[in-house]
Amino acid sequence: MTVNESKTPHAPHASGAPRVMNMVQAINEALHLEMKRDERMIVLGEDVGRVGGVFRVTQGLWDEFGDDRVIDTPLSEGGILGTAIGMALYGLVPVPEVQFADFIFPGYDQIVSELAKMRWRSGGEYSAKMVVRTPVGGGIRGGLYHSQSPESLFIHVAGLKVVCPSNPHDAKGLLLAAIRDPDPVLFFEPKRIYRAARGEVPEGDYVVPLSKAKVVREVDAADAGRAAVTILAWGAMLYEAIAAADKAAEQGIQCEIVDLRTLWPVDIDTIVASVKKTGRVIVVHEAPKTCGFGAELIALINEKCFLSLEAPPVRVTGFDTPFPYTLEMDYLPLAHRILPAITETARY
Amino acid sequence: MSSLATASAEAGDGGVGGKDVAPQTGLAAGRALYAHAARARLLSARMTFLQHAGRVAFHAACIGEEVAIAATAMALREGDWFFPGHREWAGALVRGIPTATYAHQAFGTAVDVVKGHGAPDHPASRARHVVPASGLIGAHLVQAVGAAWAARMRKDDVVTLAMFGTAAAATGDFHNAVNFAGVFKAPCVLVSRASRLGAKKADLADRAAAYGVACASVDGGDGLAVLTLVREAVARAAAGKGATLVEVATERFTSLPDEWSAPELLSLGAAGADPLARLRAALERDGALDAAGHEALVAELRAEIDAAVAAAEGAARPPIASMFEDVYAELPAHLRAQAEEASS
Repeated sequence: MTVNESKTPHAPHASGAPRVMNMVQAINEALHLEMKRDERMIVLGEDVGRVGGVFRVTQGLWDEFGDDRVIDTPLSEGGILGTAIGMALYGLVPVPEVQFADFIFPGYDQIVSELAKMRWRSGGEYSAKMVVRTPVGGGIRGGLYHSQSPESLFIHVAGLKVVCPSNPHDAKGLLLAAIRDPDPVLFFEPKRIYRAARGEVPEGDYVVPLSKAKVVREVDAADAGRAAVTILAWGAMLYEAIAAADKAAEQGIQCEIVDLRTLWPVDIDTIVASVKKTGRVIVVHEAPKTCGFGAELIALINEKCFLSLEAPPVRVTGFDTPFPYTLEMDYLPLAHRILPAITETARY
Repeated sequence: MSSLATASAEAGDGGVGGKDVAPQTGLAAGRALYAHAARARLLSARMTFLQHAGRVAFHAACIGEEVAIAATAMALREGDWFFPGHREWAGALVRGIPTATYAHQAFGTAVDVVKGHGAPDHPASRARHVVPASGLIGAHLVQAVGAAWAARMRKDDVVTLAMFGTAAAATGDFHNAVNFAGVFKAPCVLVSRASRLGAKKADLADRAAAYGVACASVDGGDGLAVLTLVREAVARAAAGKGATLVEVATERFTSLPDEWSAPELLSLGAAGADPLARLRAALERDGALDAAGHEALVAELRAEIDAAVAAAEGAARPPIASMFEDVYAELPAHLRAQAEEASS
């Protein structure tokens, strides 16, 4: 699985050959780079040290930076996030890992009531900038407590930024941008594509700016007059959108695909420009439909370009149930569920 | 009262070494403590009356506990960090937040440091290392541990201290705080006000022992004893011997004179029951305070509070745009649009 549609220019490898990495390697490289660059940065979480994290994303950091900067903590998300906030108040740059996004809720109070509001409640006297990294999403036979996508529960909270990369290049660049950002960032890593998504990753330091979406497949202006559909997606579901778009193309339907990359604050300008061009929009996400981020995206589209719409906006999402173990591939909004939405929207 | 040396020895760290113990408290410290506590008493009474009159929406009264709170805050050294709960706002004043600044925060004015964002009794100061209280009981305890841990990592000679009412000892955050403090030997002091008005006795010593954290208790009616004990705990933390949980037994007076300016406000309850009157008697006995000196101090404090309240109550409220400030470091597009909508 590669994002071969990327138009991002890649720096050549030292040997001249492109460096191909998976998401785990790219994120790991970003953590290494930033810990070297910024001695205030620390990593903490459950088994992030000697073990290197449950998905091995922090592998090697403990060997290089030691106990003081790569910290194995007791199993308590409230403790991890609460102490990380104290460290951030003091001036360190913590990058805590929550082993699965499903486990973030024991620390949700510290994120929602404390982290998100620290700058505001102190009138700017204090901030608690940090990046909370956590694997997100289903498709790994993880069952209901290792598969959820809780992004909208954080987008709803004033003061947080929310990021979800879809490929190794963006994962590295977005993580470096997030760690250097002055605000707290939830960095959701789509675990289904941790190793499956491979792509070229430049060596050294670069950032992918927050709040900039990427049009990964563009509809030619000449085709926009015919049936064309904008698909908004992020993380692992981007590849499902691409697969469905490939099938739709066989039926003569063109899709413009926008990888949001940063979910909040969202790059609404790129979305509106695309919807104005196609007049049709589908949002794809793994999270349950009701009050999912798709609802907000469609409300924003209605507010900003209602008169450009040729068809009702559509959501293809997880269902309003807990995440199922046996039937996870029926729950997820995979390409076979996106394709009918494309054809119906195009023919509306 | 259990001594910290005993508790410390039980925690297996060899006790508090002589060179680590802060200097004994002298008359100057006693006089300073009395002034801090008397200011808190007068201010809390004034705020209580303002709340009853509907002029402020909220006040966390600390009448009867202000000596313990002020002594605890005084025990910190320059550069140490203070994490108060909402009822320990008086400690923030001890750490250097002026009464006028407190009043502007309580009234949420245009010159309020926190821009009217927070309810009364939640002052903040980066320069003074006073972290604004949370509305959530106990949430700050684990943050104080994290900040202490960070200070140790940076090899800074800094101790953090969090105060809380004993009810907070039932929260998950309390257990996270003591657990993480024990595991990482964070240089912090967690001070519980064990008010008889509060929850059932929490047996904090048992909980501290379970996490390998030292614990000591002290009579909150004896301000100088609180100051001495908390100083020892701060010194112990600074010496790398880890966290201490301090229980301060306090009692809050809820029955006040009809007027906030009544002289009996400074001597409440039965004879010997008021920690403030008890401290004053001790200072008078030692010749550190006489009637004329006391009268002058109280007049000065009342004038300071009058001026602060008048200035804050007369000040403009913050501009609407300030509601949108500090959500993020920079105003994102959606908030810029909402700020324009709110201001139009």
